[in-house]
Amino acid sequence: MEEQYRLFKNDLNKFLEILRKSYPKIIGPSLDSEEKEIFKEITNVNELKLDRTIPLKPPKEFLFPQSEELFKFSFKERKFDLKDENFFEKQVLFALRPCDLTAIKYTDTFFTSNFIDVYYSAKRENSLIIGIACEYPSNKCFCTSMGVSPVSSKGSDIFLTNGGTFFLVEFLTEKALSMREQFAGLLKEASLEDATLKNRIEKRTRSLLLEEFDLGKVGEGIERIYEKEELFRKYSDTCVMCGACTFDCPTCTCFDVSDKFLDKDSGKRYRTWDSCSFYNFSLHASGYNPRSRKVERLRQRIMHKFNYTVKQFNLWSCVGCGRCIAVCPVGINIKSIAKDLQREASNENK
Amino acid sequence: MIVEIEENVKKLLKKLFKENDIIISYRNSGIPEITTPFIIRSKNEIDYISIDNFCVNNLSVYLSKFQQSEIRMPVNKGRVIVTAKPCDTKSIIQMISDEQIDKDKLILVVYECDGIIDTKRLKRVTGELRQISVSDDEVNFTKLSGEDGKISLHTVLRDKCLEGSCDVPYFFDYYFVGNEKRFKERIKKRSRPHQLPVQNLKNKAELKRIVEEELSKCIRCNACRNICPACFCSERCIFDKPKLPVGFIEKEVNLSENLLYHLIRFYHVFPNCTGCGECERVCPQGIKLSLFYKYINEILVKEFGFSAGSTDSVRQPLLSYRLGEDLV
Amino acid sequence: MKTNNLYLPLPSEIIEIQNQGTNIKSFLLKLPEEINANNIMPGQFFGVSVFGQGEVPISVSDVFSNGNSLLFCIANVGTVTEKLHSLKVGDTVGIRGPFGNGFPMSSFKGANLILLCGGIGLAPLRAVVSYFLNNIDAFGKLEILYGARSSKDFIYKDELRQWRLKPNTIVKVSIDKPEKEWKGNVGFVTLFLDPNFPDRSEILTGIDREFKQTKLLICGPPLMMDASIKMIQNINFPYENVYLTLENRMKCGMGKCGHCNIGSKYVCIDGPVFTLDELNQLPKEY
Repeated sequence: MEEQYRLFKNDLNKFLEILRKSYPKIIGPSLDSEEKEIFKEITNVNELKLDRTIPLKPPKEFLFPQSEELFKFSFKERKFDLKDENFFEKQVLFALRPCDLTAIKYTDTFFTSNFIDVYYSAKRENSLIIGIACEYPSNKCFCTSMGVSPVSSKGSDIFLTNGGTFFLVEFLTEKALSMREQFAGLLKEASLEDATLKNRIEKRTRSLLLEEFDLGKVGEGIERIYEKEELFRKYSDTCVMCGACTFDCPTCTCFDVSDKFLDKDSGKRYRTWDSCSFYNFSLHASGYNPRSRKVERLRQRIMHKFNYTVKQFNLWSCVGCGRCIAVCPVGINIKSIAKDLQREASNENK
Repeated sequence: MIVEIEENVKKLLKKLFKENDIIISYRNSGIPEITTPFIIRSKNEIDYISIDNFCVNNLSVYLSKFQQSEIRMPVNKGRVIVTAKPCDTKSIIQMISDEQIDKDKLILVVYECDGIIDTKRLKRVTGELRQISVSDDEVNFTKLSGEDGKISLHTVLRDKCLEGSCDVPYFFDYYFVGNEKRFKERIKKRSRPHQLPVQNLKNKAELKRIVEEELSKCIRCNACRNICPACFCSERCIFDKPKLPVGFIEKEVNLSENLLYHLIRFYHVFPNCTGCGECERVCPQGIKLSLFYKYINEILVKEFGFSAGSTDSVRQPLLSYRLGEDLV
Repeated sequence: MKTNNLYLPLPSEIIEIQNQGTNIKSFLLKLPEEINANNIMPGQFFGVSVFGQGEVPISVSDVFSNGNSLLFCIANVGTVTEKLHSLKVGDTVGIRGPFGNGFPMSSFKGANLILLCGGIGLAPLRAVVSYFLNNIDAFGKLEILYGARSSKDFIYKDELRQWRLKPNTIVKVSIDKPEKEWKGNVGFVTLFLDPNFPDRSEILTGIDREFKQTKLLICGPPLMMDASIKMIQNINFPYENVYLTLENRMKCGMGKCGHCNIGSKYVCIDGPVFTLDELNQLPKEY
């Protein structure tokens, strides 16, 4: 299914124009007024900034917004009426790196397992994902330690690799292949040497990473060290339980559901992002809270990322993007936690 | 940071530490430019302490939020020893003034800080880092690519440090590690004029526009609230009450709810705010929160001569009145 | 929306409301046509919505397939339940479900059933009693061991009196602290399992002393569950025959909102019914 072409960078604007005909909204990495990296709607190719580290806010907000209406309700006499009239615009998520692509693969699995979350599915169906090979990691990235290659195209419909004056373009899914004809004029033949482009980029990006470590054992041994609170205490002591890490994590999907009135007889039900770091998250109606201490909540977060989802879906829910480290007010480093756990797990084996 | 400071701090702590004591200090996180708070409960961990130009956190936050910090000064049998930067002592003094901490159980170790680096400013100059070290006024760094570089310290310090707003409390009993005279000389040299944050905002419409623009970015993550030393309701916070009547404070994220959240927090906090700037530093969206707090702080100084954290015996002007005083 | 949106509740009219104890009421709700009464198993729960306030997960107390109605027993503990308690017969609420795994009733056939309930914990187990009474030849004996904080905190008092008279059914009750007019058992409900308790479970002292043919179903507040588990360990009752139904903070019922996540399980999908074996493999966060 994979077919490779060259798209010269001068033609990128035309490429986006053609895309826009089927997908009116194109979201890609750009800069805000303070020179900070963000994902936003791209109306002009000059707004695209592909030579920076990943934006702090993940692209999950375009598939799973911070605040989302589930349905509207209205009362008449003593009966009520419900309306779910959500409209989902077609959108392109442009230039997502392999870490974010893997995160989307995880959220795809999560939101469709057991029951289908129609809101996420509808947005996802209307989205075209264009990935790009990563060449600009930060010193907080550790994708390779989580089994993600910086040039992995898994999870994207179209994948780009930077070849200097051109992008190497691959059409990977049915959705992408059905559009290929529209770009016919712009796509040039790939040359033989392009086959090694990805390998060269992977090697270079890996050499830029601050560190790589083997997490193989953490998945297995971690349950035995669940009881060792001191390990988690080291980090939960300084954690202020703000939830910023969960809000900026591309795989965190927990939400809370609330109702509100818009006027006397009608209102809506909506969902907002929630975090397992918050005290109220596990608070029962009776007032009992099984995770009342900080160490229990931090442990839940770490175990969920490195163990529980492995058991449920055979997928780690940490992709090594390093956003949690970048945003943490007190500098908690998830790499250190993972390495501590791995060391303890391998000691347990002896 | 001046080389001997870290060594001398460690020596002093080893001398002071007794069983059941807790030390709140800093250590390296594993990322070159991030130094993280560190809570120590046993003597052998003192060696891991790291005091350098990246110790940006205001450690007083661990003193006020009892439940959240699980250190609980009233309950903990021993004392709490804090290694504080001179600017952080203002927050601690304010907390003592608000009767949030037990003065007798607190041991303050203030060290001669020569400035904290603003990592955002640093990154703009150096890019992503593999290694970084500071000696005197020189910052030596290695990029991820392996390339080496050198810049001078004062080009990447925080605005706060360049304005020399390092107060040292004279009336409180504390240990000072370093050379006080050298410290005071440095502050004098670093007194760049303090920029009034809203100098140009002469009219209310402009202020309203900036407030709305900034607060519409808020995602209600609660980082600013949880890191603020002055925000000490902690688990009793009104935004966390599970049984509020619907419609009082919504979880929905839009400008109207965000305004409500920030205004409520603002009104609760601003008399105690010592201008540490942590709220703005930790915001994932980069909202200029210090804008609002500095604005009011200036008014408090001008109208009442009151500055939070300057002494522990003056009652806040907005919580006290004298008979015969005009109503504000 | 094209696909079936499981977040949308279905309308349900309140047919009857009864007072059941301090701050507890039982609600008989009309079953919407779209939901088949035969698909609802004891132990499952529904999301009951009071629009404008919110939604709460409530376990099914009983299913009346001829009347096409569902019985729920709801305590007034928060904003949603407070509003619910102020509603009248004829008002409409929303229901979503059924969610959860329910008790595996067909695998219990041929066994004796002991229901150990505390306070409002009798609510989900009542559905088990109804199932038993509708299929009485398929089971051994049924024993209901019910404890409450005080005599005012028992729910389904009328039904308890009726059940006492049914064949193969034993009912024992207890209150935590002595009361003036109370002549019955006094003590924590887990004492019914204790070999030294005078009014100990008849099934455990009589027909199944070796615990070979009995299933123990437990529902109650966390403290009671902890105490029951300790007692079960003491008397060496086989863990795979102990079924507990957990309470949790649940918002979606579909394993998406994450609140009921314990270990690698979701209480709304893999539970709320768990055997003690399964529970022991999960972190102690319930």
